[in-house]
Amino acid sequence: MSDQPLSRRAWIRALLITLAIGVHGIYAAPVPHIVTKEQLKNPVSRDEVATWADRLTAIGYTIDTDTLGQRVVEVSGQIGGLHRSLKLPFIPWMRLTGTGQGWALFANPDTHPGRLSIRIRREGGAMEDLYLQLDPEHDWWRSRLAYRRLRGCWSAGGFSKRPRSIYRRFSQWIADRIFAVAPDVVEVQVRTLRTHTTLPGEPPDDRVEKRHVITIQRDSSRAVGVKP
Amino acid sequence: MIRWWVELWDRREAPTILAIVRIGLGLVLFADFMTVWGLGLVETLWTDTAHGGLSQASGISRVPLWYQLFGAGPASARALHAGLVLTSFTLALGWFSRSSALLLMLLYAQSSAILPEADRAIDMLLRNVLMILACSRCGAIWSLDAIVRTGHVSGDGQPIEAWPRYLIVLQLVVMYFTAGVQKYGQHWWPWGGNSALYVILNDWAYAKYRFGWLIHQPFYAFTQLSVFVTMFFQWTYPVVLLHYFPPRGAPGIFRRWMARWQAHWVWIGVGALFHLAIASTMALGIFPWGMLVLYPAYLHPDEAAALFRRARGRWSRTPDGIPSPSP
Repeated sequence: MSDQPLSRRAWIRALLITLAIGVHGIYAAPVPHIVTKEQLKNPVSRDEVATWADRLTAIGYTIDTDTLGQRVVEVSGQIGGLHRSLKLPFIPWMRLTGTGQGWALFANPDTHPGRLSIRIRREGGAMEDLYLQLDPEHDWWRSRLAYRRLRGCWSAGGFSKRPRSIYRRFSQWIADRIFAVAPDVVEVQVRTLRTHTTLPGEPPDDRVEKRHVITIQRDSSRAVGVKP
Repeated sequence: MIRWWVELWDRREAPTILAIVRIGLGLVLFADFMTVWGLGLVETLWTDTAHGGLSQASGISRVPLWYQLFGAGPASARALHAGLVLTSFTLALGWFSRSSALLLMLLYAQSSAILPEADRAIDMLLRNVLMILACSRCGAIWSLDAIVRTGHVSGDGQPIEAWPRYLIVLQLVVMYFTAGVQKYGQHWWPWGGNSALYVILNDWAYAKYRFGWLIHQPFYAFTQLSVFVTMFFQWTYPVVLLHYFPPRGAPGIFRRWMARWQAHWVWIGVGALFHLAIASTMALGIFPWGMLVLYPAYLHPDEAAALFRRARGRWSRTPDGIPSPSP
């Protein structure tokens, strides 16, 4: 570093950069997301809380699963609320620019992942698979459905009781596309097949849970049956 | 201390690396937006449900600016997409580089506001970088701007402000580190069997292929080792900053060791391998490529030039190993 005087421009630049780093620092703070009671009901979260309760108990901080779950909801709510209020003044700018921080990437791997299934029924026929994720025999529109932006519309939310709004819109959209190109199809069904990834040493679990089943008929061209 | 901070952001360097980041980022985004077009998803992603798309943004309290100005129909979606394609291309070409970066970021933000569910973490990261590029002289070399201004694609040879490159490095460090410390799931830890990678590769939403066979040894042990390396790499990532933002005062043992062995390259190398592995096993779209095009920012332009000279020297040797005569 030199002893030469720094220009006014250098000082202003450093000030602006400090401001930007400060604002983004608030956004980047690795605070836990707000955990709701509903989220704690899913098997991955339940398992998570139980394991952490065991770990904490093992190191001398005795706590049972329910109490820890309740504590997680309270503390994450408080911290999340504070974080949100710190971010509040900058939200319009961040929204306009689409910038921000928040990198909880694969924070909690999903041992009960959902597999997208699209089925159709032709006039007088039975249900048949049209698309089943990672099934080479049923790979209609595979490239489209696997495309990252579209995947965001149907994946996740598998634990919620009812399908997310975007999942319903996606189902309607896919049904409309199928009806448009296949005149003999009278019914489209979109569902998520939830599987269980077990680890070595655990008994394999081949059960498949059908969730978020949305059935759309051509005549009504709207969802006629939504099962959680 | 304050002077040290101001001087950190007052460094200057050749414009080559920032130009490489600009070109790489522009091309990755151009490829992504062309993929949307190729898959026939332009109207699906950016019109509202009333027009056959997936967006509900026209019915919310804060309607995106794009919808307010141009509506939520197919023409509006096509115009937005055209703007995204055009600005990503002009950014890569270096034509109105700063304006292209700014406009691309704003349009990209609108595409996100219209259908937030289709926006991934990589999109936000790339918009952050676009914001930095919009404030930089990323078009000073290897650009149409340079040709127009100086008559030569190599520009005027003058150094530019180095802070944009250092901010990109800081952004990458923040991303890796905070991604690491937020990995609270038990599968990332020894008491969860370091099983996270195995679980993720068996998640239908992300896996490119079926990876059930990883349950067998030695493959499973390899996934466990990878989890350990990932966690170590992400939790310790801030040490990279010692190289790019050297603290005041004489270096201690650790800093001397880091400098002697250029150890920051271990973290950077692991990161690059990590992204190549993701690209070959997971269906995450532009994520690995969007990350890798930012990696040149880790190189000082002088380092890049030295590498280039060394590589050229090696390639231009005769079969007997005798360097070719200089032209």
